Amino acid sequence: MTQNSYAIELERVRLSYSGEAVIETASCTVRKNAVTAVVGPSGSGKSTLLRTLCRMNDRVPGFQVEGSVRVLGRDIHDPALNVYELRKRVGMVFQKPCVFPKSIEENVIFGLKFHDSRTGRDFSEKSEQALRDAFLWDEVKNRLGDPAHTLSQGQQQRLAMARTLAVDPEILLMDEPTSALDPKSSKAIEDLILSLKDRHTIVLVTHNVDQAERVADDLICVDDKTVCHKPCQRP
Amino acid sequence: MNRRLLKERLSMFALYGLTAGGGLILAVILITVFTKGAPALSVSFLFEASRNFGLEGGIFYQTLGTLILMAGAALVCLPVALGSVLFQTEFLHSPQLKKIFRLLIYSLNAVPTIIFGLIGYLFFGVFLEAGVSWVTGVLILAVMILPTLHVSIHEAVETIPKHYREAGLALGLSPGQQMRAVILPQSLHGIVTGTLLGLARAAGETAAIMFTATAFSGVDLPQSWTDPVTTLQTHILVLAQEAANPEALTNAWGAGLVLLAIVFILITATLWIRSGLEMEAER
Repeated sequence: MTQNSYAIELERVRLSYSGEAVIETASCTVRKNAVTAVVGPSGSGKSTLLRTLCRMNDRVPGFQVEGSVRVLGRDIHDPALNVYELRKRVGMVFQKPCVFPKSIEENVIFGLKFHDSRTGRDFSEKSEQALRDAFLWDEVKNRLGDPAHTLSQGQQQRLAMARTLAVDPEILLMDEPTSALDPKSSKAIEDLILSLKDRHTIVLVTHNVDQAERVADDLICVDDKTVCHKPCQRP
Repeated sequence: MNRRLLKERLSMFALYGLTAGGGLILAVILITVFTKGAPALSVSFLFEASRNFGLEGGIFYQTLGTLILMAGAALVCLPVALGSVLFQTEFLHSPQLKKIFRLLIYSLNAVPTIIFGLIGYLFFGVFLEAGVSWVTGVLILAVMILPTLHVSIHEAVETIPKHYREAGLALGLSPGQQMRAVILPQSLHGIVTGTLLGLARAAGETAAIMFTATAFSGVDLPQSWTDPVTTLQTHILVLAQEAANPEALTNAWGAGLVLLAIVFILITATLWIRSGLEMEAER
């Protein structure tokens, strides 16, 4: 496989909080347009690893990254790198659905309106597309102006995904996106993940090995402060 | 009755007593101001200029002067407080520097107001040549209410739920965009509360503006930057010195009642807006 086939490359990466290692060594790769699941026990550093990929921990006091983290071909700790551009290209969806106290439509275009600076913009088309991509359009098309908090937890999580998709990221990082949801909503999210991998590279943190096996093309295992050096590709 | 139960009853009794004592003092003040001030109130008292050193006429320009100083102070102070809070929370990373910054703000809150008046007059009035003017008063009051606004806004910004900040960050928003999209809308209740509380504090202030911004009589609306104003606070002070004249005292109580009403309206508005915005932010 050529180097260009990888969206993410980690080489001898050590992650620590105030000198204490969370992950002692991580050397692995993530293939483009594939679903890669990061599995491991609670507290093993899966989320820390994921957050490192879009530099979400930059402002966490004492957090330190050593080694090389390359995302979309660039060292993400290169001082010349625009971290906001990186986060736009590497979107993240969190464990607990987070919607802003605004309407459903305003939530979808929350990030988009800042990234698309053309004047007199009409976001309705993009918003519809993002909601369709997140399998939410049919459920909300007649109530786009309603407050987002009136949606169910599962719908809120898909709305959070639509908000991320509207910014058009190349990589989607998902931190246990189904752990707060019921089985039906979890299934909807899993179907969504599978439908998105043609256009996006997806890294999914999960403690549910069955889920990882259902949706992932590759597995990365985090345990005992180490990360499997190579993804164990499914047969 | 066993010993423990007796102790518990006694402490409860002491607590109720202290609360009732505090409430009683407040009630006595409010009732006194109202009963003594109400006879002075009339349409002409509210909307006429004072005459004969406040013994006759109303308190129209005094009320306007108080409102000008309060509004001016809030307008000057709000951007400074907001800027300093955002600098402290969003750009200052060192915990030590943050601690020093907080210490400075709390210290500022403890400075006696007459010192604000003195330093403010020397700086704005003498050094910047603003003289005894409403501008000097506005600037001094702005510095004085800065800690009130800062603490209130800071508390609101610090308590924004982490997941809102992270959602904004994960969408690639720059610090400026994050402020516009997440921080300001989510801390609006603190900004409004702080401003109104700051205004209420400015409304009650006398010492800092007595010799720096106000004239005791013969003043109406300021016509230039260097004109002094007359305020309810100084008007009360002057009339109270005429203790032998019952008319002067009635007018002083009347002015006191109007000042108290302004503060009461501000505090009520604060509580009302705060609860409304908090509900909005928590949704």
